[in-house]
Amino acid sequence: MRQDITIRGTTRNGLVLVLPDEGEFNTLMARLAERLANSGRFFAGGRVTVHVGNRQLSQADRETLAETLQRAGMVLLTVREGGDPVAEETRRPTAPAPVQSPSETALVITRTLRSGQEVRHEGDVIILGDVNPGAVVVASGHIVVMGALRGVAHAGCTGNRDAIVAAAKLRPTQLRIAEVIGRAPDGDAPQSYPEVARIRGEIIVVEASADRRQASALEAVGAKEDR
Amino acid sequence: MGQVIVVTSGKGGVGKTTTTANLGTALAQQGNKVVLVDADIGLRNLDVVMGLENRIVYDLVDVVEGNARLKQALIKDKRIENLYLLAAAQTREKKDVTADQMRDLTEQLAREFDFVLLDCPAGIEDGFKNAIAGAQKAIIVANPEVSSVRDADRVIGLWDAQDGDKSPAMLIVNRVRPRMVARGDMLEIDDMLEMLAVDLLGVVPEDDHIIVSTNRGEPAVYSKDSKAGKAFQNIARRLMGEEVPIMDLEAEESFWSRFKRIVGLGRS
Repeated sequence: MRQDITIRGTTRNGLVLVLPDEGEFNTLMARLAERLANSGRFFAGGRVTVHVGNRQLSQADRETLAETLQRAGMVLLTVREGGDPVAEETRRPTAPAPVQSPSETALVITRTLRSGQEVRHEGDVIILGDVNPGAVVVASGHIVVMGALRGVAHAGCTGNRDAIVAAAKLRPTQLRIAEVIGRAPDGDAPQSYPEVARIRGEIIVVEASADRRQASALEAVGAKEDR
Repeated sequence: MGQVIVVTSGKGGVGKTTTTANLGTALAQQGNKVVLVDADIGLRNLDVVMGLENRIVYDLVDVVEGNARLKQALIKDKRIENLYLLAAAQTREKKDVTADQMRDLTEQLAREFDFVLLDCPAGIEDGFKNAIAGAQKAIIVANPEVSSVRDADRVIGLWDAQDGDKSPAMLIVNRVRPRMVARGDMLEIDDMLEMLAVDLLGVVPEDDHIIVSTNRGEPAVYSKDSKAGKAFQNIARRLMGEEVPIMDLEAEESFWSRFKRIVGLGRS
């Protein structure tokens, strides 16, 4: 039935890679390596759950698998043996989805990203500077810009819908979170306070990063204890 | 050693060549020894703007390839004693010169001259890379319009990404029309500076004199009436380390001209 390797993005758990039931493991690995090489850096930073069908993997097999994925910049999350991945997939929504914690590694950039410059990182990205139009930031985790975000930002690029994009001045050319793409409505007046973009339902919404009244109260008192 | 400054913009038509010609002339008027280098190989213009086209015998590529000595190829300006031009080759291409060759050339020139101004070609390809290779300073020319600012930002990013001893880029905002800025039809200088985050070297107003002077091969800084010429004079003095306030185009436009008109001195 399933003759070839399939790679799919899921909304909550990153990428799912399904190996066909037939075929010798090492041949499949060679084919996988070739496919990943052909897709360039497309899957880079992806976290992968691999369904290996009804075969048992030896320790060496697992290492080969992890290595093959790593060469394409991907990270092996888990290996699932046996079971029907499709059925499992449909069952999953009833179980509480594991919330992907903010990733282990944050990348801090202490300069402004100018037009034509691009940052890709597996984890969160914090930018102490601006992101100018024509610049691109892609992260598997959150993106926080301490200056003005005017370029394109893609948070949760491997499918993490909980990822956020926050900026002191949030006026992006385009925002992407997981697989959702949004842009500011035409003629929208930019706000002067920090804002956060996140997915609510099926769209990206932008809200003030803090309760504004509370924020201003804190400013007036100047103490954190009030919280 | 003199200063090697590249005049660049990314976008074409914003006034790189005009800026190079006028700044060079103004610097030479102030007593500096100046050489202008046209790095736009295959599309040379600087010689025309300087009115020196008919004096070219050898060009930059001739020097780089060893067909001529540097001294032979330097064209002396027809008006100012200490101003020289190294013309671009018109029949050759950008790839006929390498970044290393440009670096050697500008180094040689910097030993002789106080200022070496490089007129960079538009774009960010080989010609641009060669032109910025030998420079320690960069003047970014931008017009107060969105596309020009985008390209300026890109070029500043490329300038910053270089290795070696490079000063932060400086910005000249060229072809500003104060009335349009006041109406909100042109970008505000402050907004440009906020995004580009570089030092402002000068603001040059749009000026009909420039077209006339370009066609005549006589830089606008020679004209007493040219506001753009005046602005370039100021920029030249800033490059020499003097503190010169940025001229307030708005005030000059509305207050002075109105004043003159009322008193009956103004032409229009």
